[in-house]
Amino acid sequence: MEAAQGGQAEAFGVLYDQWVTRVYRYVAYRVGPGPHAEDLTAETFLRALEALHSFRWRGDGSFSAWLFRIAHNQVIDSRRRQTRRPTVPLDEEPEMPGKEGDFTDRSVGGVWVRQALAHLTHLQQAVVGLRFGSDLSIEETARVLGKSQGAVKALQHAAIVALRKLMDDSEKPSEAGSHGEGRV
Amino acid sequence: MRSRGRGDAILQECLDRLGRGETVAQCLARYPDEAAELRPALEAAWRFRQEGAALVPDDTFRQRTRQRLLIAYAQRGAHRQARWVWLSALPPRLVAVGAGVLLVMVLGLGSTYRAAADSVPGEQLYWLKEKGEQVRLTMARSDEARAHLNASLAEERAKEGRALLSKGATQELSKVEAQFRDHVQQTLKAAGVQRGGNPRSKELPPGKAKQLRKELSEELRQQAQRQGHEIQALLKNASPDMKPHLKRLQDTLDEEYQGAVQALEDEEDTPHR
Repeated sequence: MEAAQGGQAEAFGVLYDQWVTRVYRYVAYRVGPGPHAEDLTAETFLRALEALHSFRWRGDGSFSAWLFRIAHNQVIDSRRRQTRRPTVPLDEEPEMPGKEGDFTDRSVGGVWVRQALAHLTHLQQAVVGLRFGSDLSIEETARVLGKSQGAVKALQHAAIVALRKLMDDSEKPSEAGSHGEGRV
Repeated sequence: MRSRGRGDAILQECLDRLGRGETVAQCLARYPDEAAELRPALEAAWRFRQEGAALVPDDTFRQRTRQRLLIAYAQRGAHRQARWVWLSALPPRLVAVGAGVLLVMVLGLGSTYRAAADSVPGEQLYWLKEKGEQVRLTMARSDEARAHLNASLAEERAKEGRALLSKGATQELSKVEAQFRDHVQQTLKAAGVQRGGNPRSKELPPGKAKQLRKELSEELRQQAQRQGHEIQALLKNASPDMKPHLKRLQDTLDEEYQGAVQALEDEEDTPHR
């Protein structure tokens, strides 16, 4: 990080290589995989580059918290922009033509992830995305979201309970058909 | 039933272990007593993590964005911004305190310097005014700048002379008059002119020198006019014992200003050697 701040472009390239997948995964958890998630991921790194000089090292996890805070803000801004124009709810969103290598093409279970996330609150989605998507610790997640660690644990607990319920529902063949959202 | 706190702590630890590649079964084996309670939550988290692992950006996007970032990095000159990284690395409280102290110093020095600028010879802060002027003269990098600065300092001495006499202080007048004469001479010298029409060997380019002499001539003429009006105004209300001093100052200024303007204009008519 110091090298990137000190003018070594390649050092910033290395940082990008190290973090791009985890940032993309978090963004994709929040907005769905595909070009929009790619745009937000790219924008996250561009913003990070612009603000590079303002980053201060404050111990382990400070960089990840800083970077994911930018990504989180990108997601929030994106949601705000979307709420200004008519949208289709996530679970009613028409299937977009998938491109080769898309999340939905690679993993059938990915559909379950998207459906599951749609049942969580935005904050629960953020916690799940940061914790399970990007492998951030409770402390890092708390710093990204500006919450206490206790609050993050509570959000995580509620999210897991909701996910477990969805899993149970999807594993009941007779009920799954009636709910129309059985495991795909 | 275990306490909620302990259950959360174990769940948390198991989630962290899942993040490091451990399986649900391995985790539950560590806590057989809590296994039944933990299993549903861990299975949900594990499934979520496993399925989310398929979310990987494609290589084309990765490479394209990397190139874009490196170009942006070069264009923005991030290394130049990093000059202040050392400052941002300091604790924010220290930076705030430092900035505060600096601000107080700047404001304090600023107000002191303003007070010094209005001082006259014999007053406490006058030395600061003199030092400031010396610095300005040292910093003047061209003959033109030096000429204009000396001209403005000449007028400053004239003002000080008036200020002294309006306060009834005559002791420093001779010193102020001498300094006034010196600044006028320095003005002419910087402009390549000396009394008697002997140009200095180091001359400005002809066009520039002519322009400078014209500007200085006008500047000194206006100064003479302004100072003459001010002294006349003072004379109207001056006490009888102050009037001779004011007239002496007036004569000094007139003599120097007229001589300088004459020298500058003579030089205009003298062909350059």
